[in-house]
Amino acid sequence: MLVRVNSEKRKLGYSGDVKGLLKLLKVQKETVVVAKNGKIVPETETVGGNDEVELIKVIFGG
Amino acid sequence: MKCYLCKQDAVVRIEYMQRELCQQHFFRMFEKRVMHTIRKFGMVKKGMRIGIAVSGGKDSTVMLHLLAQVCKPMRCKLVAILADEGIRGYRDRAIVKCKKECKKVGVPLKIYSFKKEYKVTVGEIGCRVNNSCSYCGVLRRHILNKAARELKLDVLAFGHNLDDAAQTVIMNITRNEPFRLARFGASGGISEDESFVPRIRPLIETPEKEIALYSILKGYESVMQDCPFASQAFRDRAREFLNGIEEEYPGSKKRVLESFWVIKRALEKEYAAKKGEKIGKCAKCGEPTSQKKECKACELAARARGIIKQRRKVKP
Repeated sequence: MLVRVNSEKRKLGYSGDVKGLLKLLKVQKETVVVAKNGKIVPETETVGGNDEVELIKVIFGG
Repeated sequence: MKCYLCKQDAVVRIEYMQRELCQQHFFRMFEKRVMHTIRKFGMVKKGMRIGIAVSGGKDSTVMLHLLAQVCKPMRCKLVAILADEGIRGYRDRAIVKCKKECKKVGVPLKIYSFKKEYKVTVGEIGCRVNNSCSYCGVLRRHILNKAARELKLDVLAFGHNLDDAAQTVIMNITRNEPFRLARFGASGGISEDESFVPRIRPLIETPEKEIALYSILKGYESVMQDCPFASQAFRDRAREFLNGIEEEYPGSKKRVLESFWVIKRALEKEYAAKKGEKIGKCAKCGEPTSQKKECKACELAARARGIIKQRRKVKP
């Protein structure tokens, strides 16, 4: 699975729901919107295999 | 995952509802809640002149679109006001996006610059002091209130969301500043003094993440980056704390705000006399102030100019 966080790409051997992925990456759920293969998905969505997952940071300071 | 209402693909799981929603039903739920907040607090009345404080960020952009929608049948006059604090590479990008979004909804945009008003920018002082957020906040409120009065507006709308409100409650409790909490709310002013333009916060019951999602799905253009000086703020710590609690106990932010509405009634009684106090005028700018001579904004602007002047002298 390919994960993109803040335009940084990395390969990850993960299979499970988005919620678990965020926990693994130590990203607060409240701060990102997740897209799977270009489509916005809820945190209960399953990801893995050849999926391309993007974490879009949406909470900014200032 | 499927939407629990129509079985279309879900775009969001609303954890505190324990439900997944598709785009269409998310939009409907979102707009319904904002309209409910506007009605509940009597924020918009027929024929009002409403100023919309915009920044080019997602919250004020979503508020701009929703208020344009609500106000059309009510024949309200809308004007967007942007306070340009002068942070290069940040605010200039936001202004470009803001202009586009205002054009889309046909709302005129007025830009008020710190450089013009105070002869100093937050960009200049941000790298010299470690509390630039305090300067920025005071000067921003000052310039917006002044602009709103000059434009003869009935109310000034801010894009403060549920997360901001819950953070404000936690921060004021942590700092032991209950009087500030008594002044905070969904609508109304800091003081009953007529020189303060009343404020409304149509997004106060809406979580920040849902606003961001709404903005992305609607395709609005907004600036998606941190303010370069944001990490200096106490608010960042409050945000992290509340997000952690929300993750473990969904609906916590909402419950903080609901508890606050109850506490606020008691606080208002406690500080009623203070709210009605006659406010003085700043000897320098004429704006309302509770300080003896000059207002906090004039004091901070002078201090900021002084810091910059001093550093320039030191430079070889």
